[in-house]
Amino acid sequence: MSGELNSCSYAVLRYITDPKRDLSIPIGVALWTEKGKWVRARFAQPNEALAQLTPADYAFIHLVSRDVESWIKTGRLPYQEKEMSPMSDDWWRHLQQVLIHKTRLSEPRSIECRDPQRELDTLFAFIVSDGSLVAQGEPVFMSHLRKASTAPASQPGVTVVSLDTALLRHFKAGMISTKGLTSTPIHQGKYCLLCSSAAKLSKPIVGSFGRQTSLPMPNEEKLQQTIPHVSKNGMDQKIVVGAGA
Amino acid sequence: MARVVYGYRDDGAQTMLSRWKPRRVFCTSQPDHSDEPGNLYVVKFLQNQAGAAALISELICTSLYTLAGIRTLDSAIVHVSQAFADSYLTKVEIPYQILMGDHFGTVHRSDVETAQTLTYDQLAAPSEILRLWVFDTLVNNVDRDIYGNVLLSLTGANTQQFSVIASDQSDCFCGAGVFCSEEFIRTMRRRGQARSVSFLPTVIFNSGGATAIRTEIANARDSLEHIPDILREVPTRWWDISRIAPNDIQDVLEFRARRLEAILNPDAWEDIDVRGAKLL
Repeated sequence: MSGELNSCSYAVLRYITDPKRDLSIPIGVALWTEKGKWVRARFAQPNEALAQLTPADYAFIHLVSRDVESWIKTGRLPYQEKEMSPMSDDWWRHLQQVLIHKTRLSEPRSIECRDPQRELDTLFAFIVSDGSLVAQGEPVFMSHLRKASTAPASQPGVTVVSLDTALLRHFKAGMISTKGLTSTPIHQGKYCLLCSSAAKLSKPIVGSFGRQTSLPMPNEEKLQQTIPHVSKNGMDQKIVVGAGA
Repeated sequence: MARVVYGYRDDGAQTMLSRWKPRRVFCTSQPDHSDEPGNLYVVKFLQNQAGAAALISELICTSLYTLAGIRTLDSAIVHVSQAFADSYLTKVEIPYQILMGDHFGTVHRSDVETAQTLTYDQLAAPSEILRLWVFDTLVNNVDRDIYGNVLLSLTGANTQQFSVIASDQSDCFCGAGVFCSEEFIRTMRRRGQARSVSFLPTVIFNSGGATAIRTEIANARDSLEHIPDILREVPTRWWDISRIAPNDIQDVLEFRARRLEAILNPDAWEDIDVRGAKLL
């Protein structure tokens, strides 16, 4: 169901770290759409090594994630009396009442999305991982990056990667920066990311994404600069942050 | 002696889905709450006749299971003062009235979870399931398989395996509705095995088959020596409201203990090798 924007709902799964003070950390996201007949939940996996979570925590999370996936498949929840679909808000409201121990669920929230799977990944990345998944496993944002047609002539051997709509939206909202990767933050606008080789692209760039406070809009020409000293995860790369693509 | 704690501060509903809609309540060990905020408990409040039966069931069976070495949640009688009960009068979201007097509580644990899709491999000591099944059969617990009635705690910080906690004993004695009815004794004598996990046969195989069942039956019979003391712990008001006679409980438990061998039928496992192979 890609193409048009559809009304969807999502909810955040949280892991209680201090029940007395009601402290928790996000460990998963569910997204569903009744109109698009689509529902899925994504939980943090042990190989993603979220900060603050221990292997013991993942054992608990695994218990719940398996139950939730099973319930989505069968459509039946504990204590369910009336017919409900996992693609309905009512079903997730009921699940919110079921999960009362270490893992809790937020109320259903509204969202508009074009591609639910991609949106789920995006939500997971921003709510759960906050850009911290770089060091382990598959890069989180690779599905949101695509190669642009050509590299700038002035940068031979440089692969140009542009951002698709979903990620661009977050750029525009000021939610992503290259903090930790470059000394030049990405500001509002349409940008592409360039790096010295496609093979080396994913981890450093993916790992650089994180939340950022709002920054003043710079001169676009000033953004056309090469930052040659990037070193993350032991890999030196040439990164260019520029307008266009 | 059953521990008595004193309701101090409500912390919200534990769940609105289950029948008795328990609440989280901070309880102190002193009536004047000088040790506030105390500890967080999940409290089942005394409600109607069946509710009183549920509390009696909780108190008796949780005590019995604990004495028999089954993991349970630490329990206590929660005393609610008139002033604390009055503070609930304006809480219209609570669908029952909370009265001054004694209620049943278990310590709220933040290090546990429940699971519907539990597997054998996730258990550190699967034989815990066997013991629970035998005792649930003795007391005729009708809903151990309901989500949330078994809790799981990790056996260590670096393990991925869990211990089993029997977390809800409110529907023993054929369920609270039957327990406080005239059908109680007849139903207790007639009912068979309690429900358990889907992989119970694997648990029995790997625990030793017939021998393991017989060992737990002996444990269950021995545990009945504690019943007279436990019955004395039940607040008088619970007996009055439920209209249950303590002697009936003693009698039916002794009856079922005598019949446990017939109900659980360890003979059926006699010719099965504990490694899972059937002997010719």
